[in-house]
Order: sequence, then structure tokens, then C-alpha cells
Amino acid sequence: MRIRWATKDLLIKIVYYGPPLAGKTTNLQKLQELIPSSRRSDLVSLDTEGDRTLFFDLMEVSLGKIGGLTPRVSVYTVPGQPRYKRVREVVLRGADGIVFVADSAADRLRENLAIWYEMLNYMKAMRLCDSPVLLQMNKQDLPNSLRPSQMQGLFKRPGKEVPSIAAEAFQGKGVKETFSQILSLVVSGGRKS
Amino acid sequence: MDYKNLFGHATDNTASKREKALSLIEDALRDLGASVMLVASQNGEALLFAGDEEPRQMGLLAALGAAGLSALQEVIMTAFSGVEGEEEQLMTLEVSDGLIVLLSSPPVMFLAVFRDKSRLGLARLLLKRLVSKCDWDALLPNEADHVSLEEKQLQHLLEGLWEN
Ligand SMILES: Nc1nc2c(ncn2[C@@H]2O[C@H](COP(=O)(O)OP(=O)(O)O)[C@@H](O)[C@H]2O)c(=O)[nH]1
Ligand SMILES: [Mg+2]
Repeated sequence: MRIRWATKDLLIKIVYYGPPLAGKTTNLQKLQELIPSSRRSDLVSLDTEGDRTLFFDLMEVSLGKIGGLTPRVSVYTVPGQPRYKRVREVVLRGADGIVFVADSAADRLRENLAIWYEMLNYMKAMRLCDSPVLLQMNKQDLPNSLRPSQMQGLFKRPGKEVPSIAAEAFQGKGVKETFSQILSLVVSGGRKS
Repeated sequence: MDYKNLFGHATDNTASKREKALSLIEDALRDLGASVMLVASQNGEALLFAGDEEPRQMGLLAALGAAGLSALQEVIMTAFSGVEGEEEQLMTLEVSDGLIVLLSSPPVMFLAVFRDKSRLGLARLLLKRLVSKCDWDALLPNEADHVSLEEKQLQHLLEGLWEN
């Protein structure tokens, strides 16, 4: 969290990380529906290849006013494709909290884990090890999806708990809870899990 | 320009450092006839100078969008992230109506967009001077986290956030 003094904004940066097509953009689209337009910016999406995020999506959410400051949450997604590794790195920089959107389909597990460890490596290099990571197990509706109990133990962080939430983002299930919980984790300094 | 409004919290000393840094960049912008100048730090924060407008501080990605440079984002980001510990990196991009020159000198980057292609040499010189002379730290303060938001307050704010 930082203060942008010019506007007295308390800035909180949340990044939705994960493999391509896991549902990161869908999360932001649903948040856009759930949050009145007076409290958020439009969702800026730069996608030029069908429904795949190229570069990133960005939305700013204003939480109201507290003690003369306006907490403002910048929500980003990263492009999941292997060739956009560098963009992921840049977007991740300075993240106060990360939502890892995993695709629960059993056949995507390996891909999920590869990008999970990439993220942990970046976090270590950027000294973001204190930032909380919330695992969102998305696409729980798929017939071949792994159950939460099967997934939870697989996404590990050295010395840290990994809190998790099951979701069906395209139905809006778990979207609000994910956003609220990552903010709570940021504010509580990750003590809660 | 209303510096007081921009940096109302600053002590006199840091305020004058900022003024100096701001005017260095504004001078460069004028000398070059640039339409956009941007200074960004590696923590992802940027200050955007566009024409006569007041400089605006925002996230680097948002600033690139506001400067109409979204399409070049990947290129710019890659140049900026560079290799850890790498020295200065100068990059020139030719676009239909001018040039974009970027000097990355981690942890800071300066970027200028201008039309007159014959001024490339001048642009390089000015950017180099900014890297060495401009106290960009004073412009993009990475304030320590003296503030904190209580969880109770957050819960309260979140309750009011959603559409019914
Ligand atoms: N079955 C199912 N599909 C989903 C779910 N959430 C998102 N999708 C779909 O997955 C595809 C990729 O989603 P998108 O948000 O673009 O993925 P991104 O690449 O991570 O941003 C889209 O067709 C979504 O409609 C879900 O919970 N279940
Ligand atoms: Mg996407």
C-alpha cells in the first residue's frame, strides 16, 4: 500500500495471475457487473486474439473514504501465454496481493503448476514474499475438474499458508468473495488465512 | 503550475527538489517540442507530461495507455525491465508521425515522443541529461507505509461497495 499524495489516494495493487484461459478476465468482468460504475473505472482490456488476454486488463476500484484518504484498488490481470513472461513480470511488480486463478480442469494441472512456480520465482526476485497469494480454484463446474480438496495441497508456498476459494467465475460464483478476501489478506498483512 | 496543490504535503526542502526536477523535465519537453514526456520508476509508478497539461502521476501501464502508447507497451516494458543490474539502454522507435526515444537506466526510465525526426540527437542528449541531473526520486516518491487500513474499516468499506 502506498499513498499518492497529490490526490490523497491510498493505493492497493491486486494482480490476477494464472495460465491462459483460466478465467482471469472473467473475474474482472464479473467485478465490473457487481460494482456500481460510480465506484470503478471501466475495465480496460487489451485483447486482440479472441478471448485471450494480451498484455493485461486493468480496472480501478474506489473503496470510499477513510481518514481523509481514498483507498483505490488497481486490479490487473496478466497474459498467461508463455511468450508474455516479461509482461507478467512487469505487471506483478509492486503487487500488494495476488489472486492465482487456477483452471481446475484435471488436464490443465501441470500448466497451472508451471506458472505457479514462475510466479513464486518472480515474487522472490522482487521481494514480494510478504504479499499474500490467494488461490482461486476456478471452473469447478467442469465435469473433469479437480475437487478443492485435491488441489489445495498442490499449490505450495515455502513457509506460508495458501488460502483458497472455489469458484465458477463465469457464473459469478466466488468472484466477490475472492476480491474481498484478497483485500482482507492485504490489510491484515497476510496473518489471516 | 500549482506545485503546492500537487505536493501539498512536502517539506520545503523536498518541495524545492521536486520543483527543480519538474522544471528540468518541462524544459526538456519544450526544447524538444515533445508531445509527451514520461518518467517512470521500476516500482511501476509514472509521471506523465502531455503538452501543456499538468503532470499526472499514475501507474506506468495506465500512463502508457493515456499517452496513446498502448500498442507499444510490450516493447517498452521489455526495454524497461531489461536485465537486472544492466546499464543504460537507449531505444528509438519510429512511428508514423514521429519518434519515440526511451532511455532506461534502472531503476528509472525517461521517454519522449516528438515529431521532428531531425531532433533525434538532441533527444538523446536531453534524456541523458535527465538521467544524470533529474532528481526523479523526488518526483515519484515511494512513500513508506506509515498508513494502514484497519481490517474493520476495510470490511465496512467493502460492505458498501457492491451493487445491492
Ligand atoms: N466452464 C467454465 N468456464 C469458465 C469459467 N470462468 C471462465 N470461463 C471461460 O473460460 C474462458 C477463458 O476465460 P478468460 O477470463 O478469458 O481467461 P483468461 O485468459 O484467464 O483471462 C472463457 O470462455 C470463459 O467464459 C468457469 O467457472 N467455468
Ligand atoms: Mg484474459
